[in-house]
Amino acid sequence: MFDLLPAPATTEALGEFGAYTLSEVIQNALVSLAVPKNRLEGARRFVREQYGLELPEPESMCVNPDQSYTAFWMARSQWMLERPESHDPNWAVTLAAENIGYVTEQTGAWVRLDLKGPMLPTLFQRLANLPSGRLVEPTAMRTVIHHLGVFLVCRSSCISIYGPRSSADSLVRSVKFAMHTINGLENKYEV
Amino acid sequence: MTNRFADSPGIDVAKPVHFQFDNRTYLGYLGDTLASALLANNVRLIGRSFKYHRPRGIFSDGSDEPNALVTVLREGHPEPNTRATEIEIYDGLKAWSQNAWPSLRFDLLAVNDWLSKFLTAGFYYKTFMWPARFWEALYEPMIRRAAGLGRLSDTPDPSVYDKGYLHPDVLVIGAGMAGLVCSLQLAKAGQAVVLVDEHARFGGRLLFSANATRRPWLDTLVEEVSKHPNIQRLIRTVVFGSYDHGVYGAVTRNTEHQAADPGVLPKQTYWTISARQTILATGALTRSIAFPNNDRPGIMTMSAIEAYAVYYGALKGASVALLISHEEGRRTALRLHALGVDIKAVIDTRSDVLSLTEFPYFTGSQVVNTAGRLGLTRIRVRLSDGAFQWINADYLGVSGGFNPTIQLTCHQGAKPQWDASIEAFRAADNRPGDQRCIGGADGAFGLGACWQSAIHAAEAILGQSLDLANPFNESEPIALQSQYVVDGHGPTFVDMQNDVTTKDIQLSHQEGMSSVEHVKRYTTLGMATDQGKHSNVLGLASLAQATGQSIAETGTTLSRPPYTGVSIGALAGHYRDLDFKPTRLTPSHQAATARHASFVEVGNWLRAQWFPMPHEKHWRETVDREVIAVRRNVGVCDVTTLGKIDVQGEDAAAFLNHVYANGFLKLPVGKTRYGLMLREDGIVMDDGTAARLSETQFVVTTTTANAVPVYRHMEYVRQCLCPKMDVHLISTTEAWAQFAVAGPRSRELIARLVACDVSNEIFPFMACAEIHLKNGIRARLFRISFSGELAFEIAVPTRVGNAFFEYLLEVGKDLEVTPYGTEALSVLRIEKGHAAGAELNGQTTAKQLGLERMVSQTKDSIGRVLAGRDALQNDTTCLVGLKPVTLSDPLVAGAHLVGLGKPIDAAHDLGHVTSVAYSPHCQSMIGLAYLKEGASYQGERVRAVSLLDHQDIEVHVVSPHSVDPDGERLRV
Repeated sequence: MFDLLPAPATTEALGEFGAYTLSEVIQNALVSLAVPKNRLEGARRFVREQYGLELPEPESMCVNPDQSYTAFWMARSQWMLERPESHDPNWAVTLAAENIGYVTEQTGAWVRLDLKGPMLPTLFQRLANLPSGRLVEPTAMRTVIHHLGVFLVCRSSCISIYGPRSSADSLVRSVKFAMHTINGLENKYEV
Repeated sequence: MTNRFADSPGIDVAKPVHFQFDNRTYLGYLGDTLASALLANNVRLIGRSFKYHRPRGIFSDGSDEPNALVTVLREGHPEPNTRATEIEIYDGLKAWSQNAWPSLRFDLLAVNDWLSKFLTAGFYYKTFMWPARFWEALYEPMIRRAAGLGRLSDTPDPSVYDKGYLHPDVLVIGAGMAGLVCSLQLAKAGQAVVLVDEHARFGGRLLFSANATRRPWLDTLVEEVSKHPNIQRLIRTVVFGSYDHGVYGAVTRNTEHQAADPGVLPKQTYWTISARQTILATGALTRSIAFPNNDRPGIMTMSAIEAYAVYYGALKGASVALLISHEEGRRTALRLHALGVDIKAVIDTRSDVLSLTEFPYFTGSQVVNTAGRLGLTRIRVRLSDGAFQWINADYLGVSGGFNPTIQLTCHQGAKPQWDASIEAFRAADNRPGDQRCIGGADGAFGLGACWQSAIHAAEAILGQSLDLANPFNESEPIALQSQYVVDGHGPTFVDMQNDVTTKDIQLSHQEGMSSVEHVKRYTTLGMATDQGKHSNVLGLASLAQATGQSIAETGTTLSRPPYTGVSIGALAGHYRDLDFKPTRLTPSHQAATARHASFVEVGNWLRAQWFPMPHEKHWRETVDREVIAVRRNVGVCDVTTLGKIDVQGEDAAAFLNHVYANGFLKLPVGKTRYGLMLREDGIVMDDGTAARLSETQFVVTTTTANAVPVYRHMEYVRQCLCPKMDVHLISTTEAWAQFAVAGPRSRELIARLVACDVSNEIFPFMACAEIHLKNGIRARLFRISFSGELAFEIAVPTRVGNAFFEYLLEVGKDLEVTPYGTEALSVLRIEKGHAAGAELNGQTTAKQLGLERMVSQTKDSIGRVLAGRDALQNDTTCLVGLKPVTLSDPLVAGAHLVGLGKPIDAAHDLGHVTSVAYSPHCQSMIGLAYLKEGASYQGERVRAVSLLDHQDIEVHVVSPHSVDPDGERLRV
């Protein structure tokens, strides 16, 4: 049958832009987990024991010791969980069977863009209306970039932007514009 | 080096800069503004005034400049009304004067000045009244041509702009001494500070007036501030507006101080600054004095004289006079004298002060006139003994007091209050609570007082005493005796930018404009780019003189944003052209592009509209082919854009039962149901389907247009109306690529893809299931139809959507599978009589759609009660189909329906056509329409009239279902 390789969400050129690096992460699977109040403790225990994660508080994220799993807060009693898709292509189904909460497949819904470089908070001053000084690990924020609802997950090595997949090109163009602006202004003009 | 004092701190004489003004090349130095460089080149005439075309020069040294407006060529684009006092020169800069013809020195429209006796306030209103039709055709164009400032190029702005957001603990506006001191203390205490200044360097007025002992202190302070990690500095940045909740708007001029490559880097950045606390260290502007002929080039504020002489080193060799009314004026005169400026005279309006011996000093005197056609040559002084004396001078620096720069405190409605102790307006007590004024903005005009106010503000924010010693112990009294208006012969300007004179103010008062707000609008006082920074108080003083009141009694107008002009481009940021809004691409976008699809914008989505074949000459040819392919064989359409909402929870069915007008409690697992959603007022909100994947999980689909509103509505219901229900919603529109596979051979095609039985017995109409494709990929399959044909919708993970679409077309080649776009989709649904966005227009009832039986009366649901109100139930309008009597007649959407032989007017309007299409099945145009008494018109004829399209045709009223009215095809 047809090729199963997941296609990247963006057709825009990625890579190094001055001091910054922008890349798309496509090998991971995402699921959202909504937990009713009466199952919260069980859910916390499950992800702690199975994934090495704590379900994080609002505006924060958590990674397991070997950095393969990530969880970040989405909404009240709702989290996004992430791990390499190769672990289990049917993760959403598998996890739903654990009956710890309500699981929704999210892998195809989002584009994950990893942004590396110096002074990332300064870059985000030109991207999103948020207190960019708080963009340090383990912060995870919900915000808007170029009219698009996104999550920013601050890791030790980079900031991951999770944006809507269908608008990936628009999102990338916006990020590239900000990188280009900072690179250009700092190199050529006194700012 | 010409005309420059040595060691001027504002310029680098080792870096010469060549620039052009009015096509003539001049020499300046790095650090110069266009104003300072022109003055150093003895160019005083910069432009012509707005109304009278009087010669005008440089009046100030900052963003308050009313006169020296020029057009600058920037990135190949002329930008008018740019202040010469703010333009930093660079090699290749080109600027031109404005509002003069044929030349700046010889302007024919200066005849207006001769006619100024007639061109008083309200002249246009009184004169150009008759005949009325002449106004638009003749008067207005003529007046606009004669008056005005610069002219727009009428071409798109090629510059790039940017936007940004800052969230400091404290925003400090103004990096003069007070702003610097306050910022540093706050930063040292751990506060995140954003420090903004409109100039290229920090230091404020102290840069211009610091003596040898104070300059090192200032340099040290600036360096300390610059290095502090808690302070984010924004130079060349104007905070132009103050808004609710501590939000401020600011614009940074990024590249305008250098030659720039067109469209490469953002010329300006528009900042939205959300601050917990705000310090206004905006200083105070030197206030002029209105005296006859006070507008000649060479007459400027005293502080401007000092700035150009001390900081930029200009005015060397020029003769200077000063008109002052306070001690700071005396100190300025002494500083200028010490620098080597040729002080011809100091005219002090105060009588009770001692004279100085360093230069001619006239106490108790006033300037009553000036001379010089294109620039100041002499001033006429009325001495204390009543005698008159002409004094030669190239420049006259004027200061009748100081106006604290408090405009930002007014932007939310707080009117300034007159403070007699400083003879100026001060920020109102009811200004926003997050704002504190310090330094000159707080009326602290001496350095010691300025420093103290900065420390007090820092202490108030930090909530602790800083216990610091004031480094400025010397007393520097101002001893102000304000002077506002001097009477005499000749026009006395209070507003240079709008050519408003004291006579205009008096006239407007005589004509009944007693309120300052009326005077402002009648005379245009305080309008245009300088927003009355210099004219406001002088205008009020003039009005006060006319009314016999004090300035305090006269009151003031209210400053509104913006403090200075803001480019429309800056407001837009980089959201223009391709990036005006985000674009959503469907999963099959690449495959559609490869097939040369034509795309249509549907909200932010780009959807394939049709897929032309090489031989097809017209879009209708393509669409007809696609429609026929679906009716005869099988077609594939990307329907991912329809909203998809995952509804999960123990109460998911009960929740949907409440949200939808029809019942969902008993919908079996594996079944899909068409659902009708009403608003609280009983009007149809949206329609769609809900598929039950398990006891606790549904997938709701919405129309593309209503995907977000429906999700928002359902969240509102969940959180506010049904908070105790165990139900969770999440949009999965993006997660699944969904394709409609429609046509008699669709089952055959689907069967080749999926690993399950899709026969009619196992997978009947309205069935749904979570399945796997033959290669193991998870998928969702729905037996639903929008076309009226046997059809499926199959959803696969978005990341394989494009490949899946390609595969569908490949594997179905022998079935003659055809990709079809939104246009064919629309034709198919109109043929079938399905309502869509044009029918669900926010005014539609279930009854009008013929769906009133779907509004269940056996349960409670949103909109049920009000759907039953008389107004809706008695409405006889219903959805009908239309077909032209003459098959070749065109039918247009929006046409109104009128009875045969009836007049075309609102009283005889029977309804309107909502959707039309050419139906290959019917071989004619067909349409859907809302028609009053629609049921009784079935089989009758009416007229479809569109006056806009000049159409008036007869149509048959028929069933909306042109194809398969009994629904047999979709159930096979």
